[in-house]
Amino acid sequence: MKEWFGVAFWLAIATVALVGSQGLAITTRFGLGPGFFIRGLSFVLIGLALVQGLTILFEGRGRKTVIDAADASLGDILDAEDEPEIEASTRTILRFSALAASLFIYGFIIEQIGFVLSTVALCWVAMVVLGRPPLRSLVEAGIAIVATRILFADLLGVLLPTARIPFLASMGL
Amino acid sequence: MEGLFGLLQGFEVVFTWHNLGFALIGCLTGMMVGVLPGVGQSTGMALLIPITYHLAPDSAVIMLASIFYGAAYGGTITSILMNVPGESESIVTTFDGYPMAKQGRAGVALSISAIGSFIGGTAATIALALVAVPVARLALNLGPPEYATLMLMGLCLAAGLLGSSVVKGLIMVVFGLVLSQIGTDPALGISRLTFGNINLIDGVPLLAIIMGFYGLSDVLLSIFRPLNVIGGSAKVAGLLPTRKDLAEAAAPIARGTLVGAMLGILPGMASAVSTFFSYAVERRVSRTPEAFGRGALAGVAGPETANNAFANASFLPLMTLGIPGSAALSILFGALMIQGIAPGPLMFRDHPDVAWGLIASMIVGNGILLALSLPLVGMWVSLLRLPFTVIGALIVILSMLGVYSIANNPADLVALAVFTMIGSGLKWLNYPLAPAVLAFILGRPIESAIGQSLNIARGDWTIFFTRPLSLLFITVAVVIIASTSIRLVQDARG
Repeated sequence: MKEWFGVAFWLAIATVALVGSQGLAITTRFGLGPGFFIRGLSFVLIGLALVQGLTILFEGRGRKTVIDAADASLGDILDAEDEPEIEASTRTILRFSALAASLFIYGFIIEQIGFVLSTVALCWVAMVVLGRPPLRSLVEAGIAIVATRILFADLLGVLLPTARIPFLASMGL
Repeated sequence: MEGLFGLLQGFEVVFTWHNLGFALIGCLTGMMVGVLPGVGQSTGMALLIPITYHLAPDSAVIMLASIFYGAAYGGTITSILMNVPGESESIVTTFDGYPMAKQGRAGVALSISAIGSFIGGTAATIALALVAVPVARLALNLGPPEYATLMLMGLCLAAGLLGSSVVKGLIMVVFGLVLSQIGTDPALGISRLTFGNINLIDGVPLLAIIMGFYGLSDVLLSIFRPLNVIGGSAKVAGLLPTRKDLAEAAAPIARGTLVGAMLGILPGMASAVSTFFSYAVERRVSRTPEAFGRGALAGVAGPETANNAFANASFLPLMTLGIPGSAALSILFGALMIQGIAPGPLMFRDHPDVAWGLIASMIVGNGILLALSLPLVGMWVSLLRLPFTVIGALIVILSMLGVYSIANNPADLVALAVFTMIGSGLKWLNYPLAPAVLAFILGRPIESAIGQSLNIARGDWTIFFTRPLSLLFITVAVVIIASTSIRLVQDARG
């Protein structure tokens, strides 16, 4: 079932690319136009997605993910690079969503509330979501932020952002 | 001779205190990421790109390359001592390495692996130094049609050989090529697929794709399958091999060097193929094939040597043709581009210090690995006790700050979050990510080469089939895709 998500995703990507390339010429008097590759690749992607769909329909072959014998074949070795199946429960999906959302939010708040607060918050969320005790994570996140500040600001000379919000800025954050 | 003079020039670059220091840090970091579960070679390199951005180009490349081959050896330690392969290419090492450890011969297995890795890596590097300049010169004679088809062949090799489904590999190649189209058209200066977003005018940031695919997506997916793989470790005793052990390992090391070096120069070839192939060769030529799987020294010496020889030889297509042969090398490619250096045939002319410094650093780095590998075994094993909850959180903040530090642009962080989600989803669906990264990097050069070819031929597409080399590259690409498809269909029919 999950393989169909992939097919739908590729068809969606190809459609977005086709829509986005509307108005871009396929050829110009100088040669290939800016829309040539985008549209060509979009049609190839649609074709491959359909082939993948047919493969799912007609083959439905099992996957091998564990290698534990000396007589494993080359195919086994290459297949072993595939990700193993994952079991999703409501709790793990919520934890996944929380961490994913925090990554997006971090991009929007780092220059608003400054490096220190935003990064401590991100590190704390990551630790808690991954399964560390909340209080202990807070202390460890603080230590991690001091270390990263030394690495990026002091050793590498990166200009880390300070808060734009006046109250936080007045506290030197 | 030119190669040897270049190598001497490279040693001049490497033998400075700071570059030796960066090689040492790179080797240690590489071994660490090779040992830690859930932190692969590509992740380690991706995490350090932002740090290397602030270094001189030669130091940056030396450090990243050290991580590359350091990780190739790091996976050996856990494979032999704990039956836990850190990387896919180390899977073969568990077949005989772990049984050796259970028989009390872990020290011999580790030391022979280190010696084999050093010999294989050094021999492949010397071969690389000797052939790099002639190959680069040949590459300079390639016209746009040959160059375009050569790059397409590299992508087909990656699609056919990385991962288990050729259709998925090809889809990822096309996805990478579509991503490379985002931004300003190089010829006419028209925005493409930006949807009015000014942050996309310069295209998608390469680092966001690399970090999202290789750094953060693994952390997110670890929520569904915890990565704390800590089992009992075999005890290490008697580190030094006997004369009999060395004699027994000599021929497998020589064969492993040949196998690894020959396969390493093919772009898109998975390193696991070299270790498997070497193992198969050793079993075939052995007088006691029944000993394989029960602790045969040749089963460790050959594949381990092939692994490092492969790692070092795989720099040839990157440095001479500008084609990264694997995910990790495409990260190195990205790091070079961030430094303003275009990998390819002109690298030896325009940046000889970086090119030769990189090659010489491989020999020095392999020496550092040999010296460090055995004394630090205990430390690497104890590292496995670090919980992934801490490692994962560190990867998250290092990735985010690393991407931010390149351009101080918060939009890059949003791009990173987007590609983390895409990378997680694609891994869940078992799509290989490396072909997409390779295609993204090669997308613009391919577009440019095809455009130039058609201009030369006045719009006649048969130019790609009438020039012999171009036709050869297309034929190889078709054969690879067809043969892989046939193998997969046969596998499916069982």
